[in-house]
Amino acid sequence: MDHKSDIDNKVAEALNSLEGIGRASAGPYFYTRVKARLDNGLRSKWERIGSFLSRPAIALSVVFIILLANLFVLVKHISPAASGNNVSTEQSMENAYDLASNTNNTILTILDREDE
Amino acid sequence: MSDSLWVRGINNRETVTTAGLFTSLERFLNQLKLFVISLLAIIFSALDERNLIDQLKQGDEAAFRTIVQTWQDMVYNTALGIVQNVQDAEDIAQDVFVQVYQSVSGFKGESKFSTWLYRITITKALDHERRKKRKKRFGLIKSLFGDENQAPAIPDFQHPGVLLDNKEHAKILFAAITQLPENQRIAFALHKIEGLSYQEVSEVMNTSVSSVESLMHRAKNNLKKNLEEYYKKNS
Repeated sequence: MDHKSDIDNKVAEALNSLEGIGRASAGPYFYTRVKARLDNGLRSKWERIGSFLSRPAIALSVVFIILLANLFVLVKHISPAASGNNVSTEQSMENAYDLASNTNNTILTILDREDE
Repeated sequence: MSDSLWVRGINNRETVTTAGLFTSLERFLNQLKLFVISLLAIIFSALDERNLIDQLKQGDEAAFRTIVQTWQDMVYNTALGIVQNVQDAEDIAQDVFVQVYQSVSGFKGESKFSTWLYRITITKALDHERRKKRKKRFGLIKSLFGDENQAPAIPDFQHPGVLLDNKEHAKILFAAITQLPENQRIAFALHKIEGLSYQEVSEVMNTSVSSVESLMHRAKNNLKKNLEEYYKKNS
């Protein structure tokens, strides 16, 4: 019972502890610091963009994204492009020498014809 | 002989009543004078305030300086009551005045300038608190992966305005205040720490006086519960 009343007393004291509280004051030269922050904030648009991009986290993220994009483009272009190139080279050779597969104009048949 | 005594008695009584009348009249005049002076002070300060704001709208630096110097403690104390950290409160107070400078053209004068300042301060302080909570949550996730050891929260904030005798209890009360929901916390801080009346709190929070009363009632009940738990654990 005593324990409970002791706790009740402490709670009441804590709740009343803000009685007579004074106002906290901002530190000295507060206006100077506000002015400095204001001048800092009033930079030109390009300056702000520059300072934003030069933050380490942002700069590293941008570099990482560019590297990823490069890697993606490289991977995507190398493999299908290589097979595509082969096909197109083959086709251009066929066209150039008029060697369509549906006709029997392969190099061997041409050579055979020449032998005859 | 008896007649002259009687006359003297009447004269004395008249002197006494006249003196009493003069005293009460003098007291009344003094009160009237005080009332007129305070009324004039209010009118002049309102005019002065409007003048300052108009000058600030035109970019007058001297007006800005006066505004900062007049309201810096009010803004700082409000922010400190919410974020309970001296450095953070200073940062928030600076941010508030930067915003005042940048957006004073949007101040229409529909509410008091101080009410507008209180609203900006509360918004900024709550934003700051939310950011801090997000960081804490991230820290907790990191600690789950063994990156960081999270120490349990110990009440350690000392408001500089608290009376010396109450400092220990106030420290525990401030820790309990951090557990309150946002609205209750703001109402409690404005009323108990900033010393605003329920009417003024309702203007700042854009709500009715009865809502503020209800918020304060719930805040006190919640604080009581939190404090009881704390003292049960620590006694």
